[in-house]
Amino acid sequence: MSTRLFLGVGFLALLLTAASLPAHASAPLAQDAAAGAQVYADNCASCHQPGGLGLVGTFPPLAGNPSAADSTYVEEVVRNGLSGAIEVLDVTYDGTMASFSNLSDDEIASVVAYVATLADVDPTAVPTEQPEVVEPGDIGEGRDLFIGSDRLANGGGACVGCHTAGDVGNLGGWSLGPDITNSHDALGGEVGLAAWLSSPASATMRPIFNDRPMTDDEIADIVAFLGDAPTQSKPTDPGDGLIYAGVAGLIVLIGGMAIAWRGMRQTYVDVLRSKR
Amino acid sequence: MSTNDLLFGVFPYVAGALLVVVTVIRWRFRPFSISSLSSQLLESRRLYWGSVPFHWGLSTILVGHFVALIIPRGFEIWNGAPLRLYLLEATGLALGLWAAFGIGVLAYRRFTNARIRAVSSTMDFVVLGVVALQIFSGVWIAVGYRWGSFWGTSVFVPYVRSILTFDPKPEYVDPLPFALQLHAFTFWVFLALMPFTRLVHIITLPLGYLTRPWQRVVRMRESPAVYHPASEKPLERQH
Repeated sequence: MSTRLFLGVGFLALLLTAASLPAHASAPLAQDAAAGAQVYADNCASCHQPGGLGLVGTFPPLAGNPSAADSTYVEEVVRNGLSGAIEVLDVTYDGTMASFSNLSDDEIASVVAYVATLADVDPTAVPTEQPEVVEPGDIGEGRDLFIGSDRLANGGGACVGCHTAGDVGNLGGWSLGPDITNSHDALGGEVGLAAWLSSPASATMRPIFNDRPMTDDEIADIVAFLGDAPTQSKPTDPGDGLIYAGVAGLIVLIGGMAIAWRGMRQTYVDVLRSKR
Repeated sequence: MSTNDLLFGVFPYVAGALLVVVTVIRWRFRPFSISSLSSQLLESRRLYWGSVPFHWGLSTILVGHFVALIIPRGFEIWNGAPLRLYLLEATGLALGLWAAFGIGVLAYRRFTNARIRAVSSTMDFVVLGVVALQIFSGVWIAVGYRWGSFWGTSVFVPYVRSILTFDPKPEYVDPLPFALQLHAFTFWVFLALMPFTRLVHIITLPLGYLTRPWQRVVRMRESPAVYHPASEKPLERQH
């Protein structure tokens, strides 16, 4: 077949793909607060809470927060995330917000419009004391869920697929995601961590857990385990163990080749010589 | 449309369309070109040390990837005990290094052996580069982003399934580190290249041998029929 035909077919495939493009584009959202409320519920409410009331000490309220009306600032925070201590309505909040740059421009515009409406809410509705944790979870159960020996009920991946925490992780631990040994403190204790886990906000975790959320019981157990993690002794292997094991396997494989299939690497000349 | 959507949401379909259409055209109009054109006759010693590790290492790994795609839950259950996870990952790394060793030998052979160079086309070097990149990024992931057999079931399995079910979700790949994106992208490039290059020989994998009726090869039947008519003794066995 000629090169020209190959090129023609390639071009045809490109055309077909181009024709199917609109199906992949995200549906345009009206840039209004109503659409923004849905985006807020899906992406923001787990931490900032429904109605933007915030979570004392960790996730600042948007209700009654004058900064919420500043759409340039809000958009900047949504796109780039924010971490470290800030003061809102005379209360200090110290949490971590991931970047939400995966949202489309329309989604961001609509959620910014929605958040701006929250700035006018009466700030007396914002709680100033952290709610009590109703049922503390079980550290052992949490550990089992964390390392995946118990599966998450809705099919989300076990934490340990990407994260190391506490004493789990010989052979260097897990390394796609960050070490979350100190996540309990970083996210403001039980309540903040549980809120975060109810709708994980990192770009990698969101597609995994949006459709497969953890149950409240599972979250309580995992929170209990993560709360205990800083006290556990950390594994010391920086990951060399895996490399040694892999290289050992390689040596076995090549050594096996040197012994087996001897005939396969003979040239025909060798074969004739050996028959003489 | 972002670059990510283009590379991981659209390009897979371009690659898939090329793979199917061009392979059929090639099969139909140039059936005798479906081959990798063996160079064993020209050089066989290095070929053994390159081809065997490369093919066995890579195809074992590839089967592992396919099994994960079909039954990710099985991987999650297996990996539920850390020791089993380490066993699986160390085996995978060893096979990956074996394949890397093999393609290293093959590349060295293709670049330095005058006879092999003489029969190499530009596309042979392109294929070599793409496959080497695929193996290199895989080993990089195995070492640098440990326990891919675990997070893969949450990240890559839903992604590849979304492609296969024509509901592409490239957002799974967007936040991932470069090594993982490289590994995924070179796979689509691999598929796109397949029908145009020596890679097309993959479709000749004789899977039919697994299910066909067995047969017995008889070289010499010790029956009166093969007695030499002039003597009473049976013919000497010859292999």
